[in-house]
Amino acid sequence: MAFSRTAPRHEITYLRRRPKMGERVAPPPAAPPSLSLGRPAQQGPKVALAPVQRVAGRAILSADAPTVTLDRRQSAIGSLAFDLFGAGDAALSCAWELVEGEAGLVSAALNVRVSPQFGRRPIVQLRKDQLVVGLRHVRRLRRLLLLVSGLDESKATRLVGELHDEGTIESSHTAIAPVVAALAVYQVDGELVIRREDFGFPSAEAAAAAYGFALTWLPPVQR
Amino acid sequence: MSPAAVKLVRGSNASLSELLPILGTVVVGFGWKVIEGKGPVAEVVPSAIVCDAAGLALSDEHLVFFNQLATPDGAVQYAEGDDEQIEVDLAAIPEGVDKIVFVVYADPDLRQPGNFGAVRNAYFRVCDRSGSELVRYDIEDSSDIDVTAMIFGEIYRHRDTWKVRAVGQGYKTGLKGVARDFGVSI
Repeated sequence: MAFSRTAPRHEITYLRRRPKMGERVAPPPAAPPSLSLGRPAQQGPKVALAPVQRVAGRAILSADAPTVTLDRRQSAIGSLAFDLFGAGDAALSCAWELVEGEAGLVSAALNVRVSPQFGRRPIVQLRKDQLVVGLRHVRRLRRLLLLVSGLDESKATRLVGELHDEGTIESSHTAIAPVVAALAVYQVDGELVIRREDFGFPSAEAAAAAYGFALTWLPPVQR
Repeated sequence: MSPAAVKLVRGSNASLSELLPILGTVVVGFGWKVIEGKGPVAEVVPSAIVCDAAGLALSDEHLVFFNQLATPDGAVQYAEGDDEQIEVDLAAIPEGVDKIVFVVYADPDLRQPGNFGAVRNAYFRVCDRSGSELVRYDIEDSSDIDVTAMIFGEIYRHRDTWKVRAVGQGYKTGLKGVARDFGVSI
């Protein structure tokens, strides 16, 4: 922004240019309340923040209680393994994004089961039907979106994520669309925040696009 | 070069209070080499557990590692250097703390978690703030593939002084076993 040396600086309430003889100066606009020294800024309505929900044993996510936060040890030790239990031919896939901005999709349907490796372990990997997230390098991870396809319309399928301390995060889903974005996982200063989404999409790619994943990463060529 | 560094062997100890003119911050350094095979590599993670007189962690937040960088009082902090370093401000350690235990574990990833059979040339050393080595313990190579966590050493209170001991104790129960012994929930 260009700095103007001549325009009045109304935000500097304790300095004012002295008008010349005969000059007519419009009164300065009132300073924003936050800069007022006389009275405290007007208080907005108080926002009640929900206490952070932790995982001790079994955490069941629902529309009423959609979010849990893993502690620093749960977020960084061992792996977080997701499995599906229940009706239909449900299958898991996952959009991932690293802090550096790289993003991709792990999906059996696309025949991409790996993501970038640390210590020769893909940070997100599909092993048979289980989706494993390696947590040793959790600080490289920005976010994940867990997607479920092939759900049943009437009977719910349970998505269960298990931690190294054997705590679980669970969420139930039915076929509201061909692909359901089940859980969103965000790394916030070393803690994983997991939120139930339950939004439907025509495909995994459409879900990833709706959440703003730019799928730039290409898997290594398989021989 | 620091020819004055005291070399420790397993079970021996040295007085930090005698080696340091003023008791302040010391830097605990860890190093190792992991032999790589074809599969996943053992991910070796150093940590420190701050313990009370009963030998238990003061709280779950008193485990310092890459994702929990400092104790609540700030006396023990994760730092960069060696392969890994942890800074300890001996002057700032609260009264209730009796010892700080330095544990290195192979990350328990479901996919071939790795073990100390692949770890070579591991060492544990205590330096002063300028980086000169005060005490060094070269850990005896273990070919035991069952060992998945190891206590390298500890800094502990002895009467009114601080001492360092070379421990070199392997755990076959991994980080979970260590956490259980020190009362940390993992």
